Amino acid sequence: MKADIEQQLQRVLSDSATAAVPDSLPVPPRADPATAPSSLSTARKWFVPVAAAVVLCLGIVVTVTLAQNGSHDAPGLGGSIPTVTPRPSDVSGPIHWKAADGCPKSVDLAQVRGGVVNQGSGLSKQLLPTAASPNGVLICSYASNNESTPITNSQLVASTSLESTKASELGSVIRDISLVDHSDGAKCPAYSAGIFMVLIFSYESRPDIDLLYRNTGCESLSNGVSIAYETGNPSFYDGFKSAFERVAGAR
Amino acid sequence: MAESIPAVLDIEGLYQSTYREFLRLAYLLCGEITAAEDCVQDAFMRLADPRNKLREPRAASAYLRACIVNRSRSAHRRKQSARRYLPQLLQSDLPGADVEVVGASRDSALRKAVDSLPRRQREVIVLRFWAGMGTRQVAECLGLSEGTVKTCSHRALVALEESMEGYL
Repeated sequence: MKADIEQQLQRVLSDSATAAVPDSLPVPPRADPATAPSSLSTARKWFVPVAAAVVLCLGIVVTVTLAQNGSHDAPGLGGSIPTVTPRPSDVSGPIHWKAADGCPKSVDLAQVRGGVVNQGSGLSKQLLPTAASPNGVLICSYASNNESTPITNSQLVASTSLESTKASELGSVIRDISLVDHSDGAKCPAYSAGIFMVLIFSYESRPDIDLLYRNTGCESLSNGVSIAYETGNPSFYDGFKSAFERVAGAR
Repeated sequence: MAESIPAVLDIEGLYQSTYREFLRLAYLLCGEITAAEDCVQDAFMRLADPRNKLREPRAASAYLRACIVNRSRSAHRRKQSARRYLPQLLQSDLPGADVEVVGASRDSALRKAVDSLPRRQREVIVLRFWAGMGTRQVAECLGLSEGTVKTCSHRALVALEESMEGYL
């Protein structure tokens, strides 16, 4: 059986690759920085420092504006374009939903920027407490349709409810996520405004716990007290995301 | 006598002779031909960067392969995000006309199953079974131990067998 699947794998992968890239495919010109247009090299003496200065000034203006607004959207540009964003650092805010109430159909992004807030102890050293085991989790996925600019709210695009076994499995992996920030000044990839998830863990012995999962850009998971980042964190990108993919069918 | 090695790497020659093979590797890892083309061009850009001191041809191939694997990760993630959200935003729940025919094929099901493997397992499977690399070579390319490569490979094959059970 194993040899069979290995042979089939070799054939399928080979067929797939050859179909996409046939031998007759012409090789396009190579993109080479050394063969940049000559006008650029003659202009480089003044162009590079001037361009650098302009970019630096724009960066300062955008950073200051974002800091004043507390917004991740690009002001004046419609807010719908992907932007390189500052790391999300908010760890407390007004989202406090209960699994029994279901997922809200629409969420104001100002509320999301505020993060989540939870009641009870055991949330400062890990994202979920060890003392209690969840009896279910409701996963609410949100996205924005980009029709309104700037984006002010997100719509519910999917909600998944997991029973106690899967909730415990997911909860166990989330408890193991390291809260140490390994990013070491890493720049975040572009994020998509308005895309996020809220995971609502329900318990018998304590109030529900909401986790805000920012699943684009510099991914993070926050319980309102603590926050874990994906960057340089194997317990996040391997442990949590693999388990999340397995139990919730999401990537 | 020591093997003769060109003092200066012929990047253009290497590009012409290996472009299609690297494009196939990138396609299998990214799942999209346009993203794969970007991966390959980006890898050669890095190789041609004057700050890059790598000039040994055999090391250049390994370097390019590692660049493509790294670059394909973000491309594949973007593809998965788009897959997850676009259909919901467009509110289109009608399947394409060819879904039944294409989906019924065992080969396409296996290709889809490979594409949905976790990132590391998918990379190991493509490098082992398409590129024909041994465990040690895969481990060097991905920066993993040989034991991890074997474990990933085993788990991936088990997952693929399970996903193909309905087709056996």
